[in-house]
Amino acid sequence: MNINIQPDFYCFCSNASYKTILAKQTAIPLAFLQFLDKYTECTRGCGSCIEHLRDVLDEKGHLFE
Amino acid sequence: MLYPDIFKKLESARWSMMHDIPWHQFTAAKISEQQLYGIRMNAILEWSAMPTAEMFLRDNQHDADFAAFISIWFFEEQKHSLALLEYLRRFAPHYVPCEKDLAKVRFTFDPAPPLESLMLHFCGEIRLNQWYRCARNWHTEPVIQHIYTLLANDEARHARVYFEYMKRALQKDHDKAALAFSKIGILMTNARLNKAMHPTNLHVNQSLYPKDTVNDQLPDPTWLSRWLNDEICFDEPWEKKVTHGILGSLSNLLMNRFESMQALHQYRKLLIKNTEQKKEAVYG
Repeated sequence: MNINIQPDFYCFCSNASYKTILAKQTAIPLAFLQFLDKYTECTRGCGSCIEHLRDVLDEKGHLFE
Repeated sequence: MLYPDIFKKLESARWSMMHDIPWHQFTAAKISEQQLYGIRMNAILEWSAMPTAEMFLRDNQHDADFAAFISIWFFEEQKHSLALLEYLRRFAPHYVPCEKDLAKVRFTFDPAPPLESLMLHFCGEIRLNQWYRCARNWHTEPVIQHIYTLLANDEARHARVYFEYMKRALQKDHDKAALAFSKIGILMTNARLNKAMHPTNLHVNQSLYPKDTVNDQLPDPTWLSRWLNDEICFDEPWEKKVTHGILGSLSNLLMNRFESMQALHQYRKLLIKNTEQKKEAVYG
């Protein structure tokens, strides 16, 4: 599935757009698992966005393992 | 074709009714008669995936890819009903609905435009995801809380798949799909136009009108609004989550920014105007 975060991809479980989620990571960068835990609901939710978010963070240079 | 990839993703996320529900944690003191009644009605409501799947297969004979996905969707929705029925069978057998009650929600839906049905059910999944999260918070018994979490997550995954099929529809015929999606988006985010804003509350069979919604076929048609308003208290903040989910997704799909239903309405008006101008340019 192609990633398209323009203008506002939406994570249903976090109730937030990718932009909002990425802004938090840009402000205070966290390791990926902490990022998921703190800035998203993905680990408690459906999990569909985890792979997408990893790719997006990687693409933007904000992925820290 | 989207189906093979979707199959893999949904299969890897699938839970087992036997192993992934902590049945042994059941705490009888933490469930009330009112809550058990809600589980019974929810089980019947989930059973209505059956006529919906029949509608999707009938109305999408031109689309083998989407029809193949419906096989997974139907299986998972029926499993939701079965998980709730199993809960009642184990812990409150007197609340298990009879087969006649389940069969009653299976009735023929009138043929409907496929793109509008697709968007309608995308919105329905987003709404169900939030209803079940809200229901999980309202319940206090750990096993049913766990079941509602599993159901909510499945509904979110279904919404994501419908989203992929919507993206594909826009690639095939942008204006036609955008008109259908924006029309239903307005309907499903506007309480004035559609009170309960879920497919189970829509009229689907003219010959049975006015008792032609899925809710009308429930043993207690007044239950859903009571459950939402007085029991789980699906209030304004929850409603906002649904609206944000629908508008946020449409913003992405239609490459626009819809902060409100009104913005979507404006977009649709402009789209209609542009489509008419295009037609005039072709046919004169």
